[in-house]
Amino acid sequence: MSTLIEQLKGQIIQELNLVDLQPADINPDAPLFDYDGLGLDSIDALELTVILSKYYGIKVTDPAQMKKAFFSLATLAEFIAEHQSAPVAA
Amino acid sequence: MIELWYTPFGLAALPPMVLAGYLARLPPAWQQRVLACRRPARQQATLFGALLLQHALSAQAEPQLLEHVQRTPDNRPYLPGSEIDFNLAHSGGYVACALSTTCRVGLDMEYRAPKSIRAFRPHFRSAEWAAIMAPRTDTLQQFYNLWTQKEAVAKADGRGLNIPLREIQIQHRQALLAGTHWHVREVWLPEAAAYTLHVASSQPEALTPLRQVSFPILSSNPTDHYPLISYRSA
Repeated sequence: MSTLIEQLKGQIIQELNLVDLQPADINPDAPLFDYDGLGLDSIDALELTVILSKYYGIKVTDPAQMKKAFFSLATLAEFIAEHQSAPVAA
Repeated sequence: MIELWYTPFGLAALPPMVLAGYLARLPPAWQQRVLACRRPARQQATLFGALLLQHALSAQAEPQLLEHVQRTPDNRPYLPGSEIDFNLAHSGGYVACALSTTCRVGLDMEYRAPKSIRAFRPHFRSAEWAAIMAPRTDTLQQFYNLWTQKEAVAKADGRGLNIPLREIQIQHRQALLAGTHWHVREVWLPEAAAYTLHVASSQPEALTPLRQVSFPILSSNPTDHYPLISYRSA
């Protein structure tokens, strides 16, 4: 799981263009969307669905159903581990 | 009437004394909220959003209401028992505020960052996507145009991203969501052509011009209104 979390940190920084962050800055348990976490916004939520599709082959059409999985990096990694059928080449 | 305000801010961390000077203008709960922000840009968006809302409330002769802002379970800020409805939006180096005493309001602003938009297709209805992809259309501009309209409606409604955006139907500056009509207007950010900003409202109230507010740097001295919560490093 820790490898997946480290992978996700890099993918989120790259795909969401979070140029002010290093992977070490991201606490896996911090909220992704709240002001006291990464402070991501609504477009970022949809970018996360793109990451799920592009890197993990998981199709999400409705971010509204992802509230629990999108809470933190750790919950997102858990969701991926549960739903990924096969690794997808980046 | 819908009052509109905005302010620019920097993306780098503020020097501690400057931050302390700004924080001293805010009630303790807002100070804590600003200090809890881990990313400098997010911290400034939260700080200047609070100052902007305080300014907008001052224009209603109600600056003290900032202390009474609460949040719904879907995290929409509101003023319990007040006729004032407001909404804040930030993107890049700007934050904006809409406030009305006569209708419900939602605001969304986005910097038109270049991005591959095909993955966003499921969130638009067929006619909307056709408008985005139409020949001789600035695809990115049209994408953000429709996106900010939907998001403004979702914020006015109050459920935000808990509403599947596909359920918000945009047509000719009107939006339809679950049988409710919303009025949607575009607002120009005078000095920032690369941003798209839309206001959604429950009534076709007139909009004021979008007015810029500047917040001069203040020191945290004893004349300030609120006790200052100690600054801590992020």
